[in-house]
Amino acid sequence: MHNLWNTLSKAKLVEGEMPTSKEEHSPWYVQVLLGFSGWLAAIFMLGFLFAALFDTFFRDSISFYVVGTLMILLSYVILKKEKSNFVEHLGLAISFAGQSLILIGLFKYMHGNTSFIWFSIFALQTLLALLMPNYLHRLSSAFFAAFAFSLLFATFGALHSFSFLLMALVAYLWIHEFSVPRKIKKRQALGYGLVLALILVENTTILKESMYAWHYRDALTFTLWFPPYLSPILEGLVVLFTALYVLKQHHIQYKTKVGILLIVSMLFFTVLGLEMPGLMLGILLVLLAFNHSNRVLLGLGIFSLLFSVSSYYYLLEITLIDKAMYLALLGFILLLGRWIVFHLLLPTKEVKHV
Amino acid sequence: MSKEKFTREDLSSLISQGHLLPQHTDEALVLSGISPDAHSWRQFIETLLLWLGTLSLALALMFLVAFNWSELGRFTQFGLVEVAVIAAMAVYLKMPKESLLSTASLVLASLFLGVLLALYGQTYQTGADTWQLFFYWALLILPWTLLAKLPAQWILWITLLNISIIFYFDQFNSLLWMVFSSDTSLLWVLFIFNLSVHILWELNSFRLKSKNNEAWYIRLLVLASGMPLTWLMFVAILDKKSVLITFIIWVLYLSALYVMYKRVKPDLFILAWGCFSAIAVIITFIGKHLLKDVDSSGPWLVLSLAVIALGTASAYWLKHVNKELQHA
Repeated sequence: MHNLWNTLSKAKLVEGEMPTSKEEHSPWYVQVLLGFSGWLAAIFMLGFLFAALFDTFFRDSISFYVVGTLMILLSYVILKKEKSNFVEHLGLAISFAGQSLILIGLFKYMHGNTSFIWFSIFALQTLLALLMPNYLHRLSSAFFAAFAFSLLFATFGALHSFSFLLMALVAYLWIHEFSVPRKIKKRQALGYGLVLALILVENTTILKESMYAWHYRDALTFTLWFPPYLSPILEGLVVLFTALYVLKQHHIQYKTKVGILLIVSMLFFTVLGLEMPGLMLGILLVLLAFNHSNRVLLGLGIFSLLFSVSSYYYLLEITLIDKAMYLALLGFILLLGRWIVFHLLLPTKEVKHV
Repeated sequence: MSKEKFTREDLSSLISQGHLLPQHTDEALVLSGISPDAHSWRQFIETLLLWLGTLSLALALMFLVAFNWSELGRFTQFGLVEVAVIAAMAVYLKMPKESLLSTASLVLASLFLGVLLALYGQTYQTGADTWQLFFYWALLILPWTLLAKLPAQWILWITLLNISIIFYFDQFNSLLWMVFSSDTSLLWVLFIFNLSVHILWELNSFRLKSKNNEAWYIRLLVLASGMPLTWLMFVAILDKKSVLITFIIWVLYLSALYVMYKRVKPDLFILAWGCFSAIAVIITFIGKHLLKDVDSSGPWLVLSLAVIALGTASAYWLKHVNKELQHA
């Protein structure tokens, strides 16, 4: 911290003495431990509610919604005033249990109307992601909101069709992570939640196959006005614009050699993305992660790429021989491209100059 | 990168506390090295393209062999995979040792060798079991692994042996052993094997050339030995099998982790894992003894509060250790 302050001070970006207080930052694995215990406590709390109130109280949908909502409100008050770790945990567990009650109510009494259920979950979780004053809660709600958003479209046979919107949101949040001082934590929590949901949705072949099977008729109608190839193209555009934005941050013009190479390579990935689902998401995450030296996001990006390859193997729409060809093509072009770009077109001196 | 790199957390802290004005954020990101410069971007993209390209080629060959394309002919198939192994090894030998390209080509050659073994088994229907494929694969790449002394290569070797052990027990035990069988031999073997590797690694018997990311390799090994042991504790509590011996070993294991990674060589990830294992085991124990009647509400509430208390205590302690480490 001391060196950082000196560096910024020399550049006249900060003034005066270095602040003595520092914000508390827990590493991601400590957050995972907290999230795990929060959810486990919520499950037991749900068990308590059912054991105590099921026979007498939970007789219709209204009771599920009322108790669930009251618990979320109570959690909001607790998290807003939270002073100790114990109370914060308690608040999280109460909210998670309340959300589960609303979810159970929806599935129990709205069966048959799947689209409405997923829309309700999406709306509720979006509200919670924006309003609940807690990092882990925002992350969890952003995850469920994005997941419900995708499943809402899956009921029309279009699980991945609007993933590009989520990817655009992810790009916005991570690029502007530090733009508004009081929103840094909020953006990070929302960013991680959305990324986790996207990794799950984009790379789960089994989920996709079963969704299409359940809603085959709707899928046919939907694909008439939103053809399946449009989605990977829009995802490619999101990645392209993100890459161009990063170039702009480095004051590099689009018309330079670097700019043109970037556009060509992104177009190449977009074309391959038509046949290889999950590729563009992996590239986007790796790009955003390196742009702000975010090792956790980089790990998630690499995991996403590996996950997409493993689910690619099980993708039924393409034969194994075609998959082998696409992968060989990708491998050769990446290695050849690396050699051409870094040894012929952009030798070390030129890049240093840029 | 030539200039010193600062942590994201430090900068984030300065911005959110208002010490750095929003209009200066971009400049501060560059100065602190958090936004990489052109040279760092170049290095990163070069590395990324190399690894992605290498993996894509390895996977392409795997998918091709898995497709079992009869029109290609036995001779051509073997020729293709063998040429791939030799080409990857040739690149490894030609490139400067410890360079990125040599590491990537050695890992690629090791993957291709596995593909060759699978092709051999598939073509000649040797009747060999799946565990044997992974075992012989690990055995054959052992000389390369010993010579190369690269962490990534060692992790590949250890992973292959783990898979081999799992397939061995999968075949000679019930398919649903995880759920129904009380036979815990697989879990014990995985625990002992990964613990031995972990100890050898810590004793530096592997004599690694590259120390980059070494902490993460050790963390993986801790998880590989710790997860089977935690599962063994669940079995001991729920099935009441070998309770005392499992409990003693689990306590000794956690104590050893504490001494090693709190006092000797501090590592917060491993301590967090220890907390996770402890919470899971304690809650399973309380649950087993309290939840005899699921319709009774009291035990559920006790369990819920116990999880919150244990989670809070762990978080408090880990944050405290984190502070200590930052000030050390």
